[in-house]
Amino acid sequence: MLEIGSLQTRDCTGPSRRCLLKAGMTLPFLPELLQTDAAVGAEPGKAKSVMLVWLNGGPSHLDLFDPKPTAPDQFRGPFGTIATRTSGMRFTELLPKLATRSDKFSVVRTNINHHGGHRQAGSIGMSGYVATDGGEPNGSAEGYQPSFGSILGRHRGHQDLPGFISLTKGPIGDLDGPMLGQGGGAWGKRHDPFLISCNAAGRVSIPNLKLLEGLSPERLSSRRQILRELDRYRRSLDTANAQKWGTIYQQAYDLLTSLGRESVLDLSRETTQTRDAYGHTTFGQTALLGRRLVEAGVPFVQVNWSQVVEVLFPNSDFGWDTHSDNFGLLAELHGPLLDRTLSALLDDLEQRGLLETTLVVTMGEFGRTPRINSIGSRDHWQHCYFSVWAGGGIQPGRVIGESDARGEHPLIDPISPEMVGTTMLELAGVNQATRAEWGVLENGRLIEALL
Amino acid sequence: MKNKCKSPMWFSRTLLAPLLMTGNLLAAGASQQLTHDGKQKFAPVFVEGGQAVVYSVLERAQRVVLQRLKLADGSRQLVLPEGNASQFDVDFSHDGRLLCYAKSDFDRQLKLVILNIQEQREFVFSPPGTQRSTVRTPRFLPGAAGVIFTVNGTRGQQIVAVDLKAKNPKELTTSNGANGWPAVSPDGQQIVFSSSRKGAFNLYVMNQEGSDLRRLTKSPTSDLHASWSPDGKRIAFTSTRDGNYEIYLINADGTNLRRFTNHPERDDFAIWHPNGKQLLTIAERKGRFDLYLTEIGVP
Repeated sequence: MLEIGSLQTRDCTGPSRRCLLKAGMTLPFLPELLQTDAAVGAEPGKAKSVMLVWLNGGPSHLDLFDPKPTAPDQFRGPFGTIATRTSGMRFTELLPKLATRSDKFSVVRTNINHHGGHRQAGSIGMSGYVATDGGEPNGSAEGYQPSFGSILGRHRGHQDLPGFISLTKGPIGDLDGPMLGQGGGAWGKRHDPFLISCNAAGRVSIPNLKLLEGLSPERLSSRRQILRELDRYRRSLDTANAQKWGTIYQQAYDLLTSLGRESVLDLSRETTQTRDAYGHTTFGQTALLGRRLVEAGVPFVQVNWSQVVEVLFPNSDFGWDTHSDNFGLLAELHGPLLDRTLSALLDDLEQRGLLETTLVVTMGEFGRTPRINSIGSRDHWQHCYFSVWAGGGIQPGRVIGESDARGEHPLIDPISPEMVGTTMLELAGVNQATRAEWGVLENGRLIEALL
Repeated sequence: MKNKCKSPMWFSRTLLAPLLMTGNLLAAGASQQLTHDGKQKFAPVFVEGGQAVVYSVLERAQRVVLQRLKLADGSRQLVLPEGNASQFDVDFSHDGRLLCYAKSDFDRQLKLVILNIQEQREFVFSPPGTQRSTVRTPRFLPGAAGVIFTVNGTRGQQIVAVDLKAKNPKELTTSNGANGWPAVSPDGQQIVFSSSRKGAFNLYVMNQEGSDLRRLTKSPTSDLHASWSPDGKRIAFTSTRDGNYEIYLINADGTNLRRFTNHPERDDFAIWHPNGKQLLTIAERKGRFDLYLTEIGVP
């Protein structure tokens, strides 16, 4: 079921001025609606779409994709290791399903980031941009280069569908606020992602369009009905506000119509078996929604495991930020959920013939300390971590790079966020000439070993 | 630290009242699905002589609650309905006067809470170490001996005991690696727990004071969530030794290891029904997590 939600301040005669102001604060997250400077009709590369499965908070590389069972006690962790289908590559016991599918993806074990804080590292990880002081440029999003999703969204131009959709209730971040580099950055809010959220029951909502109360998938599928709703709302506004917001609403309805036409947001259209395979968790059903968006032609979809996904400790574990009880949480929750859902996503894409044209990249902003901390857990570690790459033109079944015996540093081939973004965009058709023209990642290097 | 708090309403009516319901409420020989909401569940315990189960459930992101399920009619109630804290790993004292759990109260720590139901008073243990130190899996010792639990505190992840006022902490383990998921034998003399001191999480047994340690399992992968049978002769636990989360049984002396579940999805958190003839598990089936009660069969 799709719900647009309701706004508490709305009265029976229509949205109040306060409603509109509230909506206006969020409407910049409808960037595609106003986009005019896109490279209309740009051709995709090998990857028609990119899915970034973002594991916010920093998943432990040693406890998942880069185990070190022979490292000293202070490093190795409590999980056994298992063989994969890739020669010489072992995972921890938490990933048995992925281990049997390792011929479908490659694992980079030498990712590095340039900052140890969530917001800064996340911004760098999604944009490839490092401020000169290593911190947050100007303390505002405008100081950042656009994120990879915003770049690809602009490249594909204005279409029926948004170019960049992030599946989340709101901008991801931590207690200090949202990551500033997850959207349009210097290009402006109109290049921010369009936000859609999904819960464990498959209930989809669009957080920034809460004014459109009571719209069902059936109503969304009827353009005439939607326009009638629009007119009803418009009549309830005063003249100035109607002029100010009318165009945006019109475009918002256009967008919702395009999503509704094929019932893209309606997970009940999936077979029971497919929904079961992903798992009836927020992360599982969100990943399934991501696949539906890719299938519909959205160029860049970000599936987030962030502070609103299966997080147990309020104000503490922002997805994968397991400073305490890392081993308990990974054994009871994070490991099995990731294993099931990512496996189902890869299977599903492959069975539908979409994996070849969909680049799926799974990673967080950094890893976690190889040395176990004083409270028996792991803290932030940006000096060496993992990413998992599948489909969209990469060569599967490879291990890229090698970390040292304790998983602290790359022995060879450190892979920077700039290289991650450059490789993503190149595979998706944003070539060096375009990047140079736009002044983004113009000197970025490819991760050649993936290609 | 003492806090006045309201007593969960159902305690006065059920847990503390004489058990009026008798007889086996469940069909023998069958595996029965007890819940159907599919939500993520953790760490169940039987109460009221096996007529109800209390477990943690992920109600929504950042909100884990303790829920009581009455087996007779499937009705469910929140155990601690007030507040917005997340509540994990509940246990009840043998006399039903006390409950304990781990509480996450928006301040990054998980604290141990011992709730004296009759006196409506909380005793809280804040784990030492950092602002992110945590307590998990508290378990009552018989009588007034106190509570044991896992703590991520100043010296890694260890098993610690406190008295019933959450005072006088004493480390029962001081090893390398991680120690966790302690369970107390019915006679209170032994504690089974998981430890990674020799590699992956394996099961160990020690006495109530932490001495006489012996290794119970030896597997290259993890053995977790151990639970004693009511007669103290057997232990159920979760293991990934066959590539998936499955339930295994082993005698308390380390002999007669055998697999109890065999399913491509996850089986976890086994506990014994007080009748000793059934195991309650949290099983993932078709991507949903629910409670199942299964006949054990041949001992």
